[in-house]
Amino acid sequence: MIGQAQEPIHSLSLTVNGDPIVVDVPNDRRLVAVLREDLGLTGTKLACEVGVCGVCTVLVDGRPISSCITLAMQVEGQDVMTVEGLSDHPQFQRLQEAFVVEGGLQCGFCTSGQLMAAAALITGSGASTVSREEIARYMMGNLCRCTGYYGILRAIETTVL
Amino acid sequence: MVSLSRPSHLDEVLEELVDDEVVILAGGQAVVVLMNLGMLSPRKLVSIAAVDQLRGVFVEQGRVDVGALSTHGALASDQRIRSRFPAAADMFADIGNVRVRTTGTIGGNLVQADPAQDPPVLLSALQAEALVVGRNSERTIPVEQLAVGPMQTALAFDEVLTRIRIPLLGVGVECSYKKLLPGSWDDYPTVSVAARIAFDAAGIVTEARLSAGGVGPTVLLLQEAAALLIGKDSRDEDAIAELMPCVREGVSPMSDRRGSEDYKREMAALLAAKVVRSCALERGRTAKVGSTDAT
Repeated sequence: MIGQAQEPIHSLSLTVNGDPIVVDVPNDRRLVAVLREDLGLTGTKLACEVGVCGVCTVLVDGRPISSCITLAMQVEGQDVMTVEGLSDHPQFQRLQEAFVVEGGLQCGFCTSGQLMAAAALITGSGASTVSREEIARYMMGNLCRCTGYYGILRAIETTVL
Repeated sequence: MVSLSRPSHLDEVLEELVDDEVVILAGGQAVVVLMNLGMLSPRKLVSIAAVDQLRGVFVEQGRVDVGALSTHGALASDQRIRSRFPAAADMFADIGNVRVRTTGTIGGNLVQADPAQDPPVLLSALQAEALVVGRNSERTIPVEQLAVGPMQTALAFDEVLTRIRIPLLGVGVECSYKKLLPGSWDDYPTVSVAARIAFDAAGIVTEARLSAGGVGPTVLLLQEAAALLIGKDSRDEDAIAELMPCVREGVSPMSDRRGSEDYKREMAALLAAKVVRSCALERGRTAKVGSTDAT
């Protein structure tokens, strides 16, 4: 209950990829752990654990966040989208296909994070007005050690245009 | 295990703050990172996300008040901020990465007291103050005095930072912020410098304030260097040439993976030159606009 101290474990309600979910979690459980371990949605990856690398990016109410430095209880009642939810949306499906066609991935470990950040950019930008520089600037917080980034930028560019 | 409370009023937040093991959670971009690193183990988290009193941007006589829960992203796109403090809007738009800007708050950023963060450097130059409320107290602390060391603030455990108060620039006053990103994995600025400079009608500097981040245990006010600018025409490169060695000597950086001590001194001097030139340039521009618009 809001305003009162709670037990260390509480019942958390949220929406994940359109499905209403209720899950019992400790207060300090990270969102990424709920997604990967409690819900089995392992498309979201975990690497740096300090919000820097971007592989754990998911959307909360359409906005990109680092699920490794977000407590699950912080997104109570909100709408979470993970990479598993992208293909429900034709525009994001096109984005995924563009990553394949343009060589936007190699080992694939950062890809779900890249896709989620790009999805947020596409949703929030009003699409066709985004330049390559703006895309690069927006995507700066998603690290990739394989592609050299050009494939990623091209994939987003072709989806936006 | 951590207990949790989620109050919706400031009074309830203050009641929770009984010792320093009770930690306020705003956006979590510092608190959860520190918990992940094992540097912070709170007994209780007090989430203030539902405390609406801590939200909002308020344009008042001679100043703008910014609620502590304002996110960097919200401030970057707030026209009330951009029209009055364009350098601040640009700074907020360029903090960390898009996820930090979505979630991180100005209040959380300042009480984290990291000497390599963007907002405290620019807000110190802008002469901003933090409004701090306790159960039976209310005080203002100049932003440059908020941090007393790395990750340490002047706040007591039972105090909450509620607002940032930024005085308006006024006519003939310009502001600039420049940072050097290391291009490394974490992309905190290696060094950053901000300036707030007042010019008279002839373009001569009448007041100057310079601050620097990443070159000391807290944000540094470069008072000696700023004093050198008074009475000078800052478009004059001789004034800049005089300023740079004073900045180089006035900072106290440490060597780390973002750069050596010497390198950071040099970069601080270069950035100081850049922000002063940028203020002079802006002054030239606004003065021209002012003369055509004069009524």
